[in-house]
Amino acid sequence: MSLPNVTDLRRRGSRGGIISAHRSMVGLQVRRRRVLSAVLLALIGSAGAVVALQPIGRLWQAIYTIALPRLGLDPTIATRMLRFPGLSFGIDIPFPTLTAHWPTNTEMIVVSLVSIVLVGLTLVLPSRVLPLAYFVRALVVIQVAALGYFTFATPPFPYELPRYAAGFLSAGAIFLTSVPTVLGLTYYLVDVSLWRKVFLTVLLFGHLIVLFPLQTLVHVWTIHSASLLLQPVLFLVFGLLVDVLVLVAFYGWGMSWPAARPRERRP
Amino acid sequence: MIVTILAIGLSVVVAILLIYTIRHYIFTLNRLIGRHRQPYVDIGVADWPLVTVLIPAHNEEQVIEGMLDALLAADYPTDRLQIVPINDRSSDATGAILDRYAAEHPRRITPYHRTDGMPGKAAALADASQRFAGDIHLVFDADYLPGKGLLKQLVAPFFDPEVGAVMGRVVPHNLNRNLLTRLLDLERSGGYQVDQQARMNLRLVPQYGGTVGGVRRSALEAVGGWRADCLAEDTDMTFRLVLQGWEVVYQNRSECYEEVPEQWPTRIRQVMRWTKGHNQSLVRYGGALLRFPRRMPVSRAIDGLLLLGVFAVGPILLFGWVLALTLYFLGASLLEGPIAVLSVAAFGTLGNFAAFFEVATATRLDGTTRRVRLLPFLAFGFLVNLLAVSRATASPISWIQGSPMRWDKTERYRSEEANQ
Repeated sequence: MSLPNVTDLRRRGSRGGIISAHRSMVGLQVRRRRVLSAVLLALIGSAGAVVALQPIGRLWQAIYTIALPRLGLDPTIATRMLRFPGLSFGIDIPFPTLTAHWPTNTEMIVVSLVSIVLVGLTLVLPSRVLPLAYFVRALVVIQVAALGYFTFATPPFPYELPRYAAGFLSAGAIFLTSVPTVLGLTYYLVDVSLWRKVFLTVLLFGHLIVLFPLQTLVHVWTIHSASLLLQPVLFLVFGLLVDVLVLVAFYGWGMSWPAARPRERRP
Repeated sequence: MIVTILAIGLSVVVAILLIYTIRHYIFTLNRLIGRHRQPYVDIGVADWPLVTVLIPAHNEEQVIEGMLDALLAADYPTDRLQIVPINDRSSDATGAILDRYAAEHPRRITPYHRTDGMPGKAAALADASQRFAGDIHLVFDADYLPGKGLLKQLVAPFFDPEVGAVMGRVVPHNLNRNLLTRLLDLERSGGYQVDQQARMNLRLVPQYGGTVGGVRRSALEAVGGWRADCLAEDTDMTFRLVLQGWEVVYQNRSECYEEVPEQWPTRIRQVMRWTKGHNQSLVRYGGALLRFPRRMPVSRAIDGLLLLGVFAVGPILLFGWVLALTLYFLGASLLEGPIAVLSVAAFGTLGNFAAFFEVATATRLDGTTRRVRLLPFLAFGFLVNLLAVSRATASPISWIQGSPMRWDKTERYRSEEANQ
């Protein structure tokens, strides 16, 4: 017969129940197995993401092949080689080759008017949605900067649309490979069961794998249709910021999941 | 040439943001798996010192009764406790309420009515603390609701003679009102459960926050008393004590309930006041910390500097976005990396508004995990904070010896029914 663990006995009440520690003093029990699994999960996840990038690239190509003609756009797709330091092989990142035009005077006037209307709207919004008003004003500030640029600059624009799309997708690929490391820094250490950690990682991967090409498609379609005038705001606000938002949302969801074993919390 | 200069500038901004992110990460990891350190707590029988509880109040008729009722119910020996609500020229019924309570509890409540002198919480404390002889001066805001055992918990750490100030944990009680109160609840969790406790664990600089805590009177006198010309008397006191070799300790166990702002304009005013006060302290004590005082561990001095600089991170981040935008138009390449860092920073490495992983860890430790699903919305709160902090930083009063010429009071929302 094995003796009961003294640490466990210390937390037992007179009727045998567990006396839980006050929230101010709880922490996580550092179990070697969990730390090891966190490190392994991060390493395997990152390595798996790098290996998976080639088929992911093919998936993105398939998405463009289907979506571009349906949007009435030129279906030509090019690839750009993405190389990771220390790896002998590169990964082909497919991207649409659509071009965008320099903004016309009419487009400049329309965007200016829309910007003025948006600022006006933020002034009448109730104070309870103040963050939304601030967000819209921030968008307008960037848009006004773009209007100023296109008023005084002359073609060509330093970021042609294909280069922009390729750059964004390459950044997306790097972002994907860094997801397990980011999760490994804290999420893999917490007292959530291993299968849930794997599940969240796969779910987040799946979401981002689909989001990146669709996000690029929206950007490309918008810029192709409405000129380069909208590219700065799309790049700065609706680019990687959106993907970080997705990461934070999934992370928050995962952190809300119950502990694998409540007793693991140390007093 | 211009692109190179701007790129260097952006790199510096990214480096500063990374330093703060790493700092928050170290705190998070420490709080999760590090050794828990706490001052004396849960002392049942002792020769309790004479305590003066100071409650600065300016037009607090909505909340002051709740505060006084809570203090009257405290289990601290009544002959060792002076309750001193400071009526600082209120124009509402605060003065009358205090007089009524004093009449009902003549030996327990001693209101102090201020009718002249400099306005503001710091001035009120400076004035009142000279008139009352308690060994320990505890300070609460008028909207706080201390529990029965809180006073003993806050006084217990002072049995250690090195302790100059104690801070407890602030927990919002009106968190379910709207998105703002829920976000503030998340921020508070991250800021106290992880950030403050980790600084306590690591023997860095836990901050005396001026609302759920207190100062040893002899320490107060040793550093020259409360400075009346402060907008953040708590930060000011923290650094004066630390620089003079006193310990400032954080007591995570001592929870007190507060009313957080329920409207964004109120929140903006609060953040702007904190920013101005914090920046004043940065100007006053940053140089002393940079000289790395001999009695102070280097890690504490560095953390003190980072703590003093937290409200400067907002304008720095804003400057980073401006640089990124400018570089973008100038055709600079490889902007995705800095943009990613600026984006991550948008989820909270500003001020005492904890980073997203810090908040998530705090809610997990708190055991109330569903609320953490609001994590992505922190970006909205952060945007408002960023602009409020930047506006306040641009104000000259933020950096010079600005004297608060009026009470910049936080609006209260508690209804009469809630008080009952």
